[in-house]
Amino acid sequence: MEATTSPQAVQSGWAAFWKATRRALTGYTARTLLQGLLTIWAVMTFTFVLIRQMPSNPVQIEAERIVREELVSYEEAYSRAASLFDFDPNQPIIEQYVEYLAKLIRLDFGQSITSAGTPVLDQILQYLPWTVFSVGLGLLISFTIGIFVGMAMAYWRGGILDNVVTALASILFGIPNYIIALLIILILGVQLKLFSVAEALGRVDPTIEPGFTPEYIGSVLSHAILPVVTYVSATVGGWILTMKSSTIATLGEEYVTVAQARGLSQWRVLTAYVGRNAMLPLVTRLAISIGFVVGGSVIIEDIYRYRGLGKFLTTAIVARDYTSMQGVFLVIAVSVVVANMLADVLYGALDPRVRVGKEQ
Amino acid sequence: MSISDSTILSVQDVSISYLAHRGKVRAVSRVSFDLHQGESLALIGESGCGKSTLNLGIIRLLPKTGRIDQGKILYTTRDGRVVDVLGLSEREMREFRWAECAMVFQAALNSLNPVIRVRDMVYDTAQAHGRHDRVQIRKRMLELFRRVRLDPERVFNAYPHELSGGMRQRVLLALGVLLNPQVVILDEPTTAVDILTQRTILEVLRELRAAMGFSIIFISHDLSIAAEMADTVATMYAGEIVEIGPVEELFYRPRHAYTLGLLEAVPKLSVGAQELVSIPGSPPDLIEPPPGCKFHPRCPFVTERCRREPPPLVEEAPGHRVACFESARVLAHSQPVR
Repeated sequence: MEATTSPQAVQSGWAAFWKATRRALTGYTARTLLQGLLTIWAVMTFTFVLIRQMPSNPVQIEAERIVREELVSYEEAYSRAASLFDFDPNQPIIEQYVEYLAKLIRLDFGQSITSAGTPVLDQILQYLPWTVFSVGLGLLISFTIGIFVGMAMAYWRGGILDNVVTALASILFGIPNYIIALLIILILGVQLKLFSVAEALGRVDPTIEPGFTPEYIGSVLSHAILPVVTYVSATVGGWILTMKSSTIATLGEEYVTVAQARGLSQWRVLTAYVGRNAMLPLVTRLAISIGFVVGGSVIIEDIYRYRGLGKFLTTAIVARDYTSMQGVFLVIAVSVVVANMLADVLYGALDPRVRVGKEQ
Repeated sequence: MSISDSTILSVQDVSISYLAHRGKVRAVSRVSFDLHQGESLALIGESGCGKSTLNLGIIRLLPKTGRIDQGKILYTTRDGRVVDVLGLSEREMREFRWAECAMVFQAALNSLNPVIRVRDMVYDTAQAHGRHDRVQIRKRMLELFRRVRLDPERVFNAYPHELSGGMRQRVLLALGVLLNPQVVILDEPTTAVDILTQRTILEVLRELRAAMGFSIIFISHDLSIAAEMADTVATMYAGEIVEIGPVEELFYRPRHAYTLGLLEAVPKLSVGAQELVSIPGSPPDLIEPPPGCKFHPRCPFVTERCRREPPPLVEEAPGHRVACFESARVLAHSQPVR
């Protein structure tokens, strides 16, 4: 009796374990996480191969620099450059990939190729806050303006505000952000001399001691103004137009009329019934935009000499610093994936209709 | 302001128009009727005849392009004062809505905000009218939900999408009487639900009305429901009331060709297989309505006079008013049918 029951018990124990595992893997959260990891891995692999397909490699670039500056033969420059870096361009790409992957699993981003001895992660962490600060602030301002202006336009549809802002927003929406950046420098800085171009560039006045002093914070803010203004003007049009159309759609909903018929105050209808519902699709977009905060600043930071992650990336690309580029791309991929997950969670929290897995 | 004792709502000579690109659409023209305490008035007529516009006009929630051009809407408050709804300030109007005159819209599916729980909409409504005692409100709402045969606790805490169409309609009905209004306007309350749910809603409505004594304005395409629910029926055509009278009068002795047409278009179980007669043509253009009687292009009883002058609304039997020159012929024609 005992002999026959115990294998069965073991078996059913295993069956239960497998069942639980399978359920966990098919569960919504687990599936999303797995999908995210897979996406990050795919992006990582693609960029790994692609950046090595770019013409030249770090050693050749450095050798060319030495040739230009010191008038030595290319062979000599090449051997000097090769000895500077801890990087062998002739190593098979598969070997490089496996080595990189093995390190990455331990969250080691490797060392920078061109500044030998500096961990890529340290550099990223040094540059990242500046970008998150400037682009994030721009996004926040842009989103807030978009929500309020878009709603006002929908309310007074066909009025002067609506017509003027719609035209303006469409124009702004159509101009790429780097053109706006150049126009700001050329027109406001050079022509109208509203600010000194030389002083405005960079991310902070290097002569001021870093710290929680009013001078330092003031300098940080004043240097962030130009990039922030650029981000805002390049994106605000999109937010305004989206919010306007979303609000118009919501205003036509029956439940808004019913809310008015119930005698709710105009303000209550505006906030709890129109505003809240009209914002739903935008909140998702906001979450996704947060993902692009890191990657969306490359050219702007270059134009304004704003030393953030974007500037770091361009420098790395010019020098073909494979590991640094790889690190930045990885950060971008991770933030986009995480932002998408955040958007899902947020939408579920705001709209009960799409909440998943709660009923089970 | 002349108004009889038991009259709650007196609509006098009201015209409503919309501004369209082509011109002014006369959606409601010179409509008058009285609604008495506890009375149930049904408005019948084809789509686009101005029924819904009239009701939105009463609570002054017309779309932006809509305007009330003339008329008075006199309302008798509980303490016996008579006020013109069209003269109320924005704030007074807000207080009037729902507390004095509630409106249950057609297709209740979209009448509730999908991202707000039923209970929050209940509290919202009560608070807008200065009732902040949540415990009290909750108690009353649960009681009303019980009366409309809903599971009170579950519905109170639910999101709209968790309820079926019939349940939502009853939620709205219960919410409509939360503040104990004197007038409840029901715009096609049974359109989007199946026949059994329809029955439940009508029964529930009757019970609520018996218990609370409110008056009803009822919009319906469905003549059988109108016959069942209404004390008085008004036929609307092209923005005008063309016939109004007690329900048996109007249904058994119709005097307007349009009312007769509507009745003949309904299949009758008692008579057996019989050809249905529909009304030829479609409702007229309200920007440039036909001269004379607006129904004349579709009317089988038309005469030369109908094409020239618009018929006035005349009382031909006690409480039965009709705007038709040929009402005697219509009446004579309608008799053999029944």
